[in-house]
Amino acid sequence: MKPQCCSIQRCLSDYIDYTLSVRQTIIVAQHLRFCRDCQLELKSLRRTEALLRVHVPPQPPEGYYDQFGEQLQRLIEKQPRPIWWGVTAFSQAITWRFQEFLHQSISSFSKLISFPIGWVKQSPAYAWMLLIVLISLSAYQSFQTQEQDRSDTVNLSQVVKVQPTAPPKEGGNREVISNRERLVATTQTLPENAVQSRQDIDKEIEVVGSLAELSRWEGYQPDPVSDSNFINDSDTFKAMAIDDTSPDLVTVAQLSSPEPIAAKENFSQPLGVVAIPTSAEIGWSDNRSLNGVVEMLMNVPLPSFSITEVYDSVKL
Amino acid sequence: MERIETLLIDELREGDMAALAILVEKYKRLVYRVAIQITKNHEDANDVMQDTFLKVYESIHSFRKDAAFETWLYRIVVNHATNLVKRRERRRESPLSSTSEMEIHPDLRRATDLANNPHLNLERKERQRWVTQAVNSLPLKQRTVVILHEFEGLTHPEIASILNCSEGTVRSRLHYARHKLKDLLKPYVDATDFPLTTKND
Repeated sequence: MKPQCCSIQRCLSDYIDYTLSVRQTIIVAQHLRFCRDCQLELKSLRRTEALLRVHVPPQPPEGYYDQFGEQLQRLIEKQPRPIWWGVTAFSQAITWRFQEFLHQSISSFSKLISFPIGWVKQSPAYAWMLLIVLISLSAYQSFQTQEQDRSDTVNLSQVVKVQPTAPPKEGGNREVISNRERLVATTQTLPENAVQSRQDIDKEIEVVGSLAELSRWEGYQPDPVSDSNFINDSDTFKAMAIDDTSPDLVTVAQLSSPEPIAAKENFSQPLGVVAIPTSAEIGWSDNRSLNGVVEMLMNVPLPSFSITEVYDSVKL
Repeated sequence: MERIETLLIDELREGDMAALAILVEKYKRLVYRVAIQITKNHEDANDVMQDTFLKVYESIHSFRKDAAFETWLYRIVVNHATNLVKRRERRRESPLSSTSEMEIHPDLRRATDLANNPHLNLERKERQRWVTQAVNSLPLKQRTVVILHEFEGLTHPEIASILNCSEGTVRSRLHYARHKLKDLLKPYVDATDFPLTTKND
């Protein structure tokens, strides 16, 4: 056996499970094309996998499942009550006491309100209580605002994330790299001051992970998008990735901006994610809409391809 | 996590036994399936079943709501079953009975007998017996990974989380287990008449 075959055969189990990186997958696939020994090994492993599918787990005796509930019930009744029950009961009792106290305090406080002059002096305790209530209310409000902000951020972070990993060359190619995760698409809206500097846009479009392998992948050409075009005119923006679950498919995402950025429109809408066989030659055209992507791929004369995910930017 | 499941867990935290009954009803088959395959006999699997659901009942307050209940349950059942097997191995005890280790249970036998072709049935039974025997002959750690991955369909990260080990460890155990199984099932693997079905099929 060749030394290379050893290392390839060590990867075959992961190859079957699609857990190799894109680069490793391509290396193994290329090796398998020409190496008969490794092909046979892969075939044997796949047959073993298939054989395991005939395995049927042993069944319990008839009526076992029906009796199990009662059996467990009896067992639990014998057990001492778990300590957390006591804790729960204690905390409930405390809550009731506190509620009672609060109720009494509020009723006394409302009586005091009818005598506004000098009540603070008479009952400094109530004044303190009022202060605490006001502070709690303001703290609660600020907490709510923070939560709101956080949820907005979450939406934005679910974008198909694309950005140059290296500083962009002037007028040169933008290296489009995507991660191996299933691409999740949504739209991204620029803030009000939409005419932005390049840095601002880059901040909004991020990369999750970085797989430079894709740019080195044979047959894949990064889409040339010059900086000036990208900012001033509408343009398309594409990302490719090999899906974990089906490495035979390339997932293609297209972001397009139907309107010039300067018009303060959505930065990237609509956005489509489509999966096509790795063997396909993708001819990028100037499609600027989701339909364009789908139509373009529908015209690819191949036996099979599937649209995995298509997101409606409006609904999102 | 499903909304109903979250509600059930909340109810159980408040001590509602009906919620436990529903959870038991939903997951008893899963728990038994994993337990019997790890312990290899019904009596031990029954013990594991009881211990697992008792643990759920007692430790539900420590279950984090953001985690998946099923994964948590898998962790409990796998821990109980492997501990039991290890304890038995240490004591050099033989399993209590060999009810299900090599034999096919009457229920299963009845189901297979329903099929038309007796020759195919025999072959299928024989193949099932070989596969069961091969899987049972694997070391405990490898067997557990095979059960969780091949039979339960869990992913590597899920298994790593259940077994509290790294994904690399899971992949390595799976790699060695597959090679061992390939050797053990060689006559069937080499047979050309056996239809090859892949995961995607």
